Amino acid sequence: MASLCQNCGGPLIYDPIKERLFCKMCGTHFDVRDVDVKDRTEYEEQYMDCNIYVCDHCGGEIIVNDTEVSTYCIYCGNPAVVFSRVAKQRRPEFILPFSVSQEQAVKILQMRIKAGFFVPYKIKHFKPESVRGIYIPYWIVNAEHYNASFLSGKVTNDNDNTETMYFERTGKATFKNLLLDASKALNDYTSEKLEPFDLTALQPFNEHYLAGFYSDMNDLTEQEIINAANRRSDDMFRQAVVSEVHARNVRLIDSYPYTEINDDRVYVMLPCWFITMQYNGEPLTVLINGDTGKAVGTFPFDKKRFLSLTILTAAVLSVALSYALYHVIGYLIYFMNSDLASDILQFLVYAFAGISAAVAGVINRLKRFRSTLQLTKSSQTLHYVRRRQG
Amino acid sequence: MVAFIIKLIVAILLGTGAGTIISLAIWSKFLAKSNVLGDSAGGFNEYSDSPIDIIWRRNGVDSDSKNTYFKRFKEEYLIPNGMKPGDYSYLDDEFPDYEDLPEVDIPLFKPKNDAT
Repeated sequence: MASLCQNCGGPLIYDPIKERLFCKMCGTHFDVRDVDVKDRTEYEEQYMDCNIYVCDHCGGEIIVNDTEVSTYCIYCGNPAVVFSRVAKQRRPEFILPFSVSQEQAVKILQMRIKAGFFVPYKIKHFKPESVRGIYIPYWIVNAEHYNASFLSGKVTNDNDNTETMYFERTGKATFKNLLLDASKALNDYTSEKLEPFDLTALQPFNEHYLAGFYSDMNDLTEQEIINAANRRSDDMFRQAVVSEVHARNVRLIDSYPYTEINDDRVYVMLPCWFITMQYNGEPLTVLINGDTGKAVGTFPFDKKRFLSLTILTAAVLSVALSYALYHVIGYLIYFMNSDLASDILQFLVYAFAGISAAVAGVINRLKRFRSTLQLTKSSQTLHYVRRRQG
Repeated sequence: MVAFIIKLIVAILLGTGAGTIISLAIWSKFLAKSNVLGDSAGGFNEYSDSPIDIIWRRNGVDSDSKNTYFKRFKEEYLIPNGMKPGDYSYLDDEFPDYEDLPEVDIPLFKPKNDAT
């Protein structure tokens, strides 16, 4: 599997900056297309060799395609990985080569972390324990999606009262070039956040692009691919169908999705950097899109800083609002039964609605923060392996 | 005097509640911006050229009609159009799991940390 230098026989590594293969021993660069590929049989066109390691901690499987030895689990950062077996892997049709180098990936992360006001000091001065470039397997499919959605919303009736109404909406949508992560070990919600990838830059698959990187393999059955397409299409349909109902506070209660995918699906490899670091004894894994440099991950926050700022702001606002409300209540009592009182009451109703919306916003944001943090913490990796694809 | 105290207590309670919520709303937004990286995925508009083609709409239905509606969708729309949810019998067998693939005879290299 290893690509070897035509001059000195040393192992070649793909250099994302120069977009060429590079020999570490003699420093020669080669165009990927210039490096010989042996003639393959029809069987070899479909499958290729790979080396599989298994993580003792999370059970994740790491596929190594060249002579590099795996020392860390790419999913949870655990060093207890053992060589498992040599196996065959389905040969992808296309590959999107890395265009972000390892140094660039670390720099992108450092810059994003430095800009984070609530990122703890320890994380700001992180030293990556491991930085691994991995080609993640994806299926690109075209899907015809049919969906029956049941929704609720608030409407004003003829008597000017607000009531909850229920709605049925059945529709269909066509999704083109839908990306489905084909590795069970990686959580779908994490891999979806890595998007977008520039699919126009896909290259016909060539093993030489794998030189110096890890790769994962497709471990989905055809049925699981359809289920993944159905789940993803349903998510997108649910977000869009809400705008098809003319009411306030429209909520989707449930949906019945059905998806058909065409036979012309394509198996591809897309690039990603996995950067693992330690924080308070827990490994954190941040992903960097190897094509666009988009960073995906959530960091624990500096609780002292967050709480002190929240309490300080709350104290200042509370004093000001209490003072204002004291006078507003005074006006209300003084001008009771006048137009001004009804105007003030109306204002208070709007203010109450605004505060209620703020409460819902805070709860949603904190819930989302917690769930995305769990994805970054490796303890959830075990769930990735067991729970993926719904 | 009593009216003054009641007015004051009500103002302080409401003011403190509102102040705390507004403060939390402000700083939780900052927290999400500061500590959450790349929390977005490709959505409907990225993958579809056209809006949803609505083929059925009904307003003001009963709150408990969901299951009947889904059943009708399956039996009166999907199945008559040749779509059978949950039926994978049409899938071909030419899609082996990687476990089923034959192993290579000679390992390509012997890893240094091979503990087995």
